[in-house]
Amino acid sequence: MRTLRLTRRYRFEAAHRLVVDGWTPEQNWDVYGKCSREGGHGHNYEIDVTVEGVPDTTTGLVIERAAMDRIVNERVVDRCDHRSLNDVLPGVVTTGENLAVEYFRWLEDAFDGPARLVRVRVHETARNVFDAVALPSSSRGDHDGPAAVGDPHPARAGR
Amino acid sequence: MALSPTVRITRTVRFSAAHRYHTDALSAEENARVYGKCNRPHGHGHDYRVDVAVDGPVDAVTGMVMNLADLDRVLKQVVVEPLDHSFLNFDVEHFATTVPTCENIALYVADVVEQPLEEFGIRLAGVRVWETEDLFVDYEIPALASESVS
Repeated sequence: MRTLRLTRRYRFEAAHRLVVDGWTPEQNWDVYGKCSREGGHGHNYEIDVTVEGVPDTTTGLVIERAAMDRIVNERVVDRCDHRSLNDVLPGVVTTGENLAVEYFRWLEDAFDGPARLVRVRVHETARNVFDAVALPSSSRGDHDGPAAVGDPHPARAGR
Repeated sequence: MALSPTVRITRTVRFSAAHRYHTDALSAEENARVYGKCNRPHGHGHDYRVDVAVDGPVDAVTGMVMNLADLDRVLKQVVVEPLDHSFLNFDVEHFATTVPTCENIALYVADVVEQPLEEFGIRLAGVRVWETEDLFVDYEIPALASESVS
């Protein structure tokens, strides 16, 4: 049985602002620059969702496309499209890194087999790309159910 | 002599083809539910893009892993020519009995290119098939432990 990865791209537009609650405007400016401006700004986000599995012997599909779309649209796109991400994720700095990890967590338990979520890639712009990836199952220990907190770890791609 | 590190080359080819998602193993209703619009009776088409990755050491003289002209010839002969402007379900024997999903096309490409590449001493590393710019499938062939270069 040969394992494949299927990647599907989703899109939404949203506003955000990078700011740490409790920091002074100067501290936020020092770290986040323009991204901390009070009124916020927005991006045309592109989200690549990758699942891994063996194609079903009858259907030839790793996952049914409509089922995948339903999961990602309900859990990510509809919750974020044309909204302020700072409202959607109170208490979270809405960096690409944090978005990738949050979306991974929102999605992970919905892909409960046979296809498994292995990566969420957030394109904030064409130049800023952030991946949250599942650790290989061999390094997960003998947990049952979704991976532990910190399991999807963002790979920093720079800003 | 120091071992050359393994380098991966990825070459892209394209073909345009029609297909239909349908399996006789399911009822008409089940086919429609599982495949949605892709099950419509007269099929539809895509401009497929196929990325083929090969691994190997860099030849000390030519500076190449594989001559891209050879790679192109293989890909044209076993992928593009048989599939381009075909209706996959009817014109390609393999897909008479295998649903031409993006997944199965990736496996098919891997199967047809592996042997011709071996004749050049080249290891197929992976295949990516893009059905649209928003959907692709990867098949990565794990390297044998004995082949891995540290």
